[in-house]
Amino acid sequence: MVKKKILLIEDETFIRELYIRSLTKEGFEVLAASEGKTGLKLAKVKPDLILLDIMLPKIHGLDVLKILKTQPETKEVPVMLLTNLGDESIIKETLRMGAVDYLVKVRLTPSQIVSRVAKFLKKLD
Amino acid sequence: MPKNVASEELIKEIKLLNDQKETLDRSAKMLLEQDVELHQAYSKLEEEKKSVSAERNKLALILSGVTDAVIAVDLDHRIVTFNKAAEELTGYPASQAIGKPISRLIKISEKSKIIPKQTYCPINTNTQEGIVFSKEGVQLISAHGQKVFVNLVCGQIKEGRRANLGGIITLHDVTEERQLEEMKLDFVSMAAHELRTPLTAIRGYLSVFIEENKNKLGEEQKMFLNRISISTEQLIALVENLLSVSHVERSSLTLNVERVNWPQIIKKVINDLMIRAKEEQLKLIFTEPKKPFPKVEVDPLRITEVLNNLLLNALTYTPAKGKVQVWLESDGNNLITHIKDTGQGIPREALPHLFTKFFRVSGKLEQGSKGTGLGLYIAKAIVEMHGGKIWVESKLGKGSTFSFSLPIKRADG
Repeated sequence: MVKKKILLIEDETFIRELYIRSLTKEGFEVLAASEGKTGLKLAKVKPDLILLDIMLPKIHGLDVLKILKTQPETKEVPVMLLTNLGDESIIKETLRMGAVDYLVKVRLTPSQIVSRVAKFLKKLD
Repeated sequence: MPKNVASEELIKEIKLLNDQKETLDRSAKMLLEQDVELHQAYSKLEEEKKSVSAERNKLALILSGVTDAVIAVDLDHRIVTFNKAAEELTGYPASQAIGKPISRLIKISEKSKIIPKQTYCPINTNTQEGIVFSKEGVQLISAHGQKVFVNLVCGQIKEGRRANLGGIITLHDVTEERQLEEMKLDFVSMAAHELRTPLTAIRGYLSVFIEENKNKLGEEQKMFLNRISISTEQLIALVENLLSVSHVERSSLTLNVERVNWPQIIKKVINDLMIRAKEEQLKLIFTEPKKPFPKVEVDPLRITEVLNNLLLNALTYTPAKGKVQVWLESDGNNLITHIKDTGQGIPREALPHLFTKFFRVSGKLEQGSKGTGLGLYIAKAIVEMHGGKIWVESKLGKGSTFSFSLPIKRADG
């Protein structure tokens, strides 16, 4: 079976490495970037899902999302937001911009995040 | 004519003249007396006039010394008094304001909706006395287009109608307090955000570590890790509470309403708390309803926060071997959730303040408590946003029952 490919764009090293580990253990192939520019470059390989943090240095997560959703080669790739923002207006804005869901990191354990990801990808098949 | 006849006539004449003189003298005396009286009355009037004008000056002086804007209007809503603070607050000089209809100068709004003069200064035909309108934090637009926040109070006096006095409006400038409050909220919300990132890492690594090493750990090690885990959850709850409070205070808390199966959510919340209850040797029971309950329209995330808060409180304040029970009830219009514990109970004098911000029960309860005094305040705000109510019944030493209602909205509603 071909492994599902997930692109994780997250600047916090501890959190990034934690999620990479949990996702890999669950059988996903994980590509990771610590900021938006690298993330956008990696997105061109058309992963099955992008996990995108909102608070990113240099290019803000919202701008990364905007580019992802306008570029022809990435616009069909589903994007799930990773956030720790309590600001619901931003969350609503990202959903309006085409994100499929959002995950509040502090409320979820890595295994809960992995299970949300797996559930979503299963639904797509 | 004989001589003696002539002298008699003369004597008569003299007598008449004497009489007339006497009358005139009396009149003169009376006039003099009246003149004195008039003089006295005049000086009295002068004195009264002086004192009235001094009184009026005194009143104007007092009004000019009042730091709140004081504006009085007549029965047609025309401005009759406009003190110095009113001039400063509104940017209009009194000379320009007096005699003008109040609506031309004063624009009061709340959340950018104009409040009409009939609302904030109703002029009643009855002889009502006292405060007829009072609202905190309304906006006033000054002559220079500047927006200021004010607390507005409008009062009426009994004699107002006779004196052509419609109402007295007091405006207390709270702009600065508002700004300070905003800064405080910004700080709290920034600090809470910054805390979320390291907390995410702690929680994440801890859960992975416990998951992967469950079978390799000794009992004591497991207990240590469990306690670290519980403390982390508490810290996260605290940070979440601080963020919720800043949303509540900013009125930026929004609801994402869905039709949900409430008993199912309760089951899930209870399930998540079971480990903690066991750890603290407490029984946590949910009595599921026998017949299916109608779905409720709520924001599942927010209302779960309420239930979580109430359950965590119950677990925290109930000593080991105690019991925490949850059950549901319906009165046709509302779905009522009860959370009963066998804890220490709440002192009677604390009950009215329980749902206010930063309130913590003092004394015995406080020593063991780890709360912030925010949970119940947030719970109340969230329940009320849903159109429900929250209340508590408690007896010291006998435990407490917290309850909240959620309106059942039918399919057509």
